[in-house]
Amino acid sequence: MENWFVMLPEIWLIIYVAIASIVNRYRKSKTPKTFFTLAKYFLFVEILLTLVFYNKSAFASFWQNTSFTTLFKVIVYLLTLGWLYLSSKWFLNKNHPSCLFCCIIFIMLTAMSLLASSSNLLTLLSCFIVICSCYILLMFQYSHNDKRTVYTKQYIYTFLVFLFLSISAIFWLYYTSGSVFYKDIKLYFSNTIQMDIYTISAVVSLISMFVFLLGLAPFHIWIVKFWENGILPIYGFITLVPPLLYLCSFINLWKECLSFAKFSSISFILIPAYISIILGAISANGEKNIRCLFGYLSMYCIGFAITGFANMDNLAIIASFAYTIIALLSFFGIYTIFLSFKSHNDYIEDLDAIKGFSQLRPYMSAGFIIFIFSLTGLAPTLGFIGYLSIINNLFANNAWLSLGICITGILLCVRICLQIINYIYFADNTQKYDRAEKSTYICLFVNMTIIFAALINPNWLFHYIFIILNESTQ
Amino acid sequence: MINPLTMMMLIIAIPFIGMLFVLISKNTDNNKNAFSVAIFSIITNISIIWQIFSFIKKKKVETDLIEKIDWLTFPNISLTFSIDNVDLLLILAIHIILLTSIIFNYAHANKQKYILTFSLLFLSMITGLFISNDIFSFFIFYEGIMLPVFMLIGIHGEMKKKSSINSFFIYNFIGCLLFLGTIIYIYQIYGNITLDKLRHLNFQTSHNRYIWFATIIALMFRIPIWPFHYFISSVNTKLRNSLVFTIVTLLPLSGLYGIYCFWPNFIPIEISQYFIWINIIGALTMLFLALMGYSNPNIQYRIFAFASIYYVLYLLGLFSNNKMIYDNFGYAVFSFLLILGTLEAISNYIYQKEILNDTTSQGFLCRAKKLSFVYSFLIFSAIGLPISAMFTNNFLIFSYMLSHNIHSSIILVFAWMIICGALINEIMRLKTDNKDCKIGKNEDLPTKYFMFILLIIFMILMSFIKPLWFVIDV
Amino acid sequence: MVVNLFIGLISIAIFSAFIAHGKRKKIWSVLLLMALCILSYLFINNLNSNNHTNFIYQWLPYQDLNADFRISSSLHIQNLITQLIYLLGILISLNIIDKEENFSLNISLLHILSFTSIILMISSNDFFQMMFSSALLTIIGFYTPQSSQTKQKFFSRSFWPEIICFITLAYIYGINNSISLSQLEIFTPKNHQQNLVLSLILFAIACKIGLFPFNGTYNYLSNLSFNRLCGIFALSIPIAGLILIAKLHILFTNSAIFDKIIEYWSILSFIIAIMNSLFDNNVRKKAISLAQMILIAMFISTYHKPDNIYTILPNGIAIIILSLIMIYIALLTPNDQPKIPNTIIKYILFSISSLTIIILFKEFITPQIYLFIALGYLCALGCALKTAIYETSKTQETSQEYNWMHYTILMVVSGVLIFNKSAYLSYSNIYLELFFIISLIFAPTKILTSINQQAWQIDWIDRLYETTLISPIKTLGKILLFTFDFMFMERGIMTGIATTYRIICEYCSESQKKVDKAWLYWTLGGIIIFTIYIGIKNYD
Repeated sequence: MENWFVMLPEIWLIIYVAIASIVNRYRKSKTPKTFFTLAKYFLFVEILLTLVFYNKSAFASFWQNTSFTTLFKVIVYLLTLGWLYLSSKWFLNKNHPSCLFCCIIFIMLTAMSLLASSSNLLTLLSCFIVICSCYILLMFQYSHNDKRTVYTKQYIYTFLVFLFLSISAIFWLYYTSGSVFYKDIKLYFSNTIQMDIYTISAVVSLISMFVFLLGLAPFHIWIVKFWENGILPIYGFITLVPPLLYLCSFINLWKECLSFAKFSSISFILIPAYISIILGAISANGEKNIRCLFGYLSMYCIGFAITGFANMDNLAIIASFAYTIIALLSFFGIYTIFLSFKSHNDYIEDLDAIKGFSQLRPYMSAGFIIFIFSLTGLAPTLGFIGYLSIINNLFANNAWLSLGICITGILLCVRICLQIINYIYFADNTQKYDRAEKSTYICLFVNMTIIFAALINPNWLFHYIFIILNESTQ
Repeated sequence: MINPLTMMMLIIAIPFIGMLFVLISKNTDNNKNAFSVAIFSIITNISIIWQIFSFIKKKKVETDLIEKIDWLTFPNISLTFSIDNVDLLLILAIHIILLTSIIFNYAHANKQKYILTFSLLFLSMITGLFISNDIFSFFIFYEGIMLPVFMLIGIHGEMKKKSSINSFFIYNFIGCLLFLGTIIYIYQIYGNITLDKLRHLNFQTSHNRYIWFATIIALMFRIPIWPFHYFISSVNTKLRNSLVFTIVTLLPLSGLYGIYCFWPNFIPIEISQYFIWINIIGALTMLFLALMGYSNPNIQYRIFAFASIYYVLYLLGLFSNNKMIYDNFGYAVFSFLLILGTLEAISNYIYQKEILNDTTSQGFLCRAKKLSFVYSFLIFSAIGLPISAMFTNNFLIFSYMLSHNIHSSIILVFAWMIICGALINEIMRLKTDNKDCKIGKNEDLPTKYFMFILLIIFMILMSFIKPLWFVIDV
Repeated sequence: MVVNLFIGLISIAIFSAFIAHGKRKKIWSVLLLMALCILSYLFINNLNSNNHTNFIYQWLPYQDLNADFRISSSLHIQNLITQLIYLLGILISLNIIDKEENFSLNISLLHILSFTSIILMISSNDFFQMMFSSALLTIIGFYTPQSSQTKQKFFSRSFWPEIICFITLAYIYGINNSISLSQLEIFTPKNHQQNLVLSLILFAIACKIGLFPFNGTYNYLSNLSFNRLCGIFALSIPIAGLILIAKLHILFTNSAIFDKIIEYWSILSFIIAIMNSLFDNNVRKKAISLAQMILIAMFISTYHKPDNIYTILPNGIAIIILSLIMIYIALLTPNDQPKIPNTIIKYILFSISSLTIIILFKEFITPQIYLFIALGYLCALGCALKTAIYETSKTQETSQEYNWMHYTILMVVSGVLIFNKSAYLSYSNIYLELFFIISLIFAPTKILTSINQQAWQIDWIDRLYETTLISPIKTLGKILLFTFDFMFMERGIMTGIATTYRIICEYCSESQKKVDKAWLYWTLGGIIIFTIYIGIKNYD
């Protein structure tokens, strides 16, 4: 009974799905906003519950909550809350039914939160399956493209490949060590001196699963389709929210289970990270679709974060985490402004259509440049702190190759930002934009305040986070 | 007595707050509010600078003016700020020339709001640069200058070709990245040391030699050294707005000031043997710029060439490793900046009259007596006649160069003479009688502007007769 | 004491600068003159008080660059100032009586400033003060001419010497490590590029004084009004040149070759100046050549004995002013058409005002000066009478007039020779005397006139400057701008990089989006990379 009680945060998310379905079925005067309002309260309570049970674990062999995972979860819930608040405007505007969307997101949140605190390979696998299924649903339901069936099929094929790989890997690890629990596997392999090719392959396969989930190059084509065809709320959600929990889960898996393979495959996670940094930056440079452009940039940022923590020591994780938080804040700001790129009730996707945006929306544009320069790490924007911590850490570890790639990436990334500023500020305006929602301004203001306060006194934002990370990753 | 830290922070904060006010001011035709706010914040700052001067006068111990702020926990960085006479002189000069440019620019520019916003941001950043005392705070402001400069060029440069703006920014950004790499390297070895301590390092070890070279090269990215002057000249010479031009021309100052701050107290022979190459490159750069400046009839190009030649000359002066030149740096640059800014403001005033009357400006000065006096005085001081503090520094630099390496110095002297000739040609052109010139007597400098410029001329003269005349009794 | 005068003059100058744009300039000018008189009276009254303390302000307190701002009160300088101040008064009264001068107050102001600069320059003890005051004289010289054309030519010719002087002195400082003029002698034995340094300094001084090839500069001044012309010759750049040679003279000791060069050069210049003054048809040019001639005489004298400067400066200037005034009175209108009533009125006015000054300060006037002035009056009177006769007889033949002028000029030359003993001694040269005799014989003939015209009409220094320096610089600059900045950087490198990068970017986006099987290729590619990686790890 106690186990179920401690499971309350996850159960609470499921309860939302049930209630939302009931409301959808029986309430007559429902609007798209209804489900978002409901979601808002649920997420509030969820955050409280997560904080209450921050170090309590139900079914300890399957899930293990630590302050580390709680930190990630709380941030993710906050982000989701913010994003749902903004998404509701989209749904209201389009008068699109939102029940399914909210339910899928809550199911995903449940799966991801379990994934983040899983301590068992089978849990990991099942969460992986649930999350991917949610992706399939989202892709099929919320794409505005005729070819969505084709893309969904492609996604399913790729998913099956990785499912097969991860099942084989789990099977092999179970076969050799006789257990699927992280601890046992770690213990078993720590005593083995030489690793054979199968074990290495198994480790690599497990990592590739995360590469696939994070949408890193070269397994990123599915997420490109999302950026291209998904509706704006989906686009924002999948680029903002899940990567953080995947990273958490990956760090967890690595530290609790796969660290025995550190010396044989530390560099493995760097290959996709490097490719993502360079490919993301270059592709974004050639992109005319503004969503894809920032999609590629998010890929670049994840690559950067992974390069940062590849060393897997305490300081590396803290550096990477700081970077990720700042990048998330910037992306959140940018996506907020996306909601005001609206002309004749259509959300603009083409870069040419935002020419001279600053002439009509000076404050939005001012925010926009701060966010994108923050992404490039230009001092004195907040992004500088993120880049500083990562580059400092790379220096400390003498990771010269990573450093070279990162700096090349930053240079390529700067060019994109300049390009966007050229469009927004230096070109003449040709388009009329719809009036921006009040919520956009509110979100923007809150975001800017956080960024500004954090810039003046970074300890305000990072101090406790660093303490938590420092304790839990010892 | 107000705490010195408060005063130092105030002179950074006041332009920044002014910027926020300008940003939210109502966008009218003449932007009178924004203009008044800008002028008010600059004048307030000047009065605070005056206060700090008297503070320095009272306090004999330099350490009283060093303040430390804890900024980041990870990596552990606390920012240090300090101020001395040279810093204050440069800050004062920049404030005065920005004030001049803003006043002169107000009469004929549109989109005043943006230009004032970014100018104040620039002012805030560059003030920070002069106040900063440790490597990180220095870097933050060093890079922070880039954003307003870039925006000003793009929005108000009135350039036809925008592509060169991007290459200009990226070129500068590469320098910043190199600089970032260097300071993180320094941080890894010595922690966040102050500039004073950096100057006292023992440069005989290979680590420190690398630090020295990388820092100097990174800072040189800001100075138009041949053949990389292209990136700077391609933007600078095409600007038509005097305020933007002045601000962009101040950019090399940050590099020069950086070298001034980082200049070690003792330079081993292994390093100083490379100085001959820098001398040769510097002399070549000066010759190139002078020749181009002379053959180009555009006054903007000439002023750019003049400014760049002096920057390179001062750079070579610093490289001469002569204590007297080093000590005289602040006074010389103070008058150089005043002359540069005022000259640009006035030549742009003439250019605007030319545009307004759709005629040639040749012979304008024959009719405009006040303008003629002011312009000729500024040109005389610009070419280094002994009426400004530039003269003393030129004298010292030339004497050092000529007595140490007469061959490359002859090129240097020749280049300097060519640019003097170019400036004199310009004033002679304006003073040659011409009946086609339709600009009448009543287009002369308004009396209040004239009085203001007279005040600046007085400062220039006093900088020669008695440096720091307004505060210190030597 | 000198300081008081200096400060008084500066404050008068500042005050007149403020009122210079108002009305009633003539009255203000007269008031200015009166203020000057009072100031000089006070100064001269104090002469006997034996107050010889120098004013020294420590300007740059560095050890190796110890520049002082110094106003000397030595006996020499006091005498010099006493004499110069009359001349200043004369110049200012000249400004007042000239009806065509619209800016009399401004010009008087410039004269006062020039005068203070000369005080500064003559009392200088280091490079800085010397260069500063010399530059001030150049700048004031820039503002003196009223026509822009003249201004241009004049300034560009007097500016370059300034720069050259600056560079040379900088070099000397680099070697000597001291800016003190008294330590210049250290430089000589070291022989660091000594010939180059001396040639440069000589060039600068020759430019300023107007030795032979550079005399063209002063010919451009021929369209100036006489009061301004007097100002330029009496208190401006040429005088700076003279003081320079007096101050830097020590560098030229022990260099026999420069002695010779200077001797021949100055004789040549002198002869050419005389030729010009005798044979030029333009009366103004005659006057200028005359002034130049006197300057060259002063230069020679100073070169041989630098201390001469204190005596030669006021005397020389007096002669210059007198000779100029004389011609001014003889033929004073801008279009060179004599107008008798005007002439006589101006003459009387001038006489009265000058006489007033003389009476006021008669006890301080040296006999030499007195004699000069008297001679000048006599000459001027003669000329005025002559023109009066000329006008009444209505003779239209110009040749007569020129004969008159010839004799006047020769008279002045003899005046120079007689009254300036030292100058006379220094160029009492057999060639020169021969030339006098020849010119006296040939004076009425017109043989030399045509030769002289040919020699003067071609401004070959200008052409040389244009063809050898300016046009190559311009061409080279344009070529560099085009080939390097435009062709190489912009069209070559930048366009190349931009195009390559654009192609890469486009290819990248295309490979991920537009190809239907992109997902397959990328996934397979990834798996292949991973397999290779596993293989490598296993092999290790």
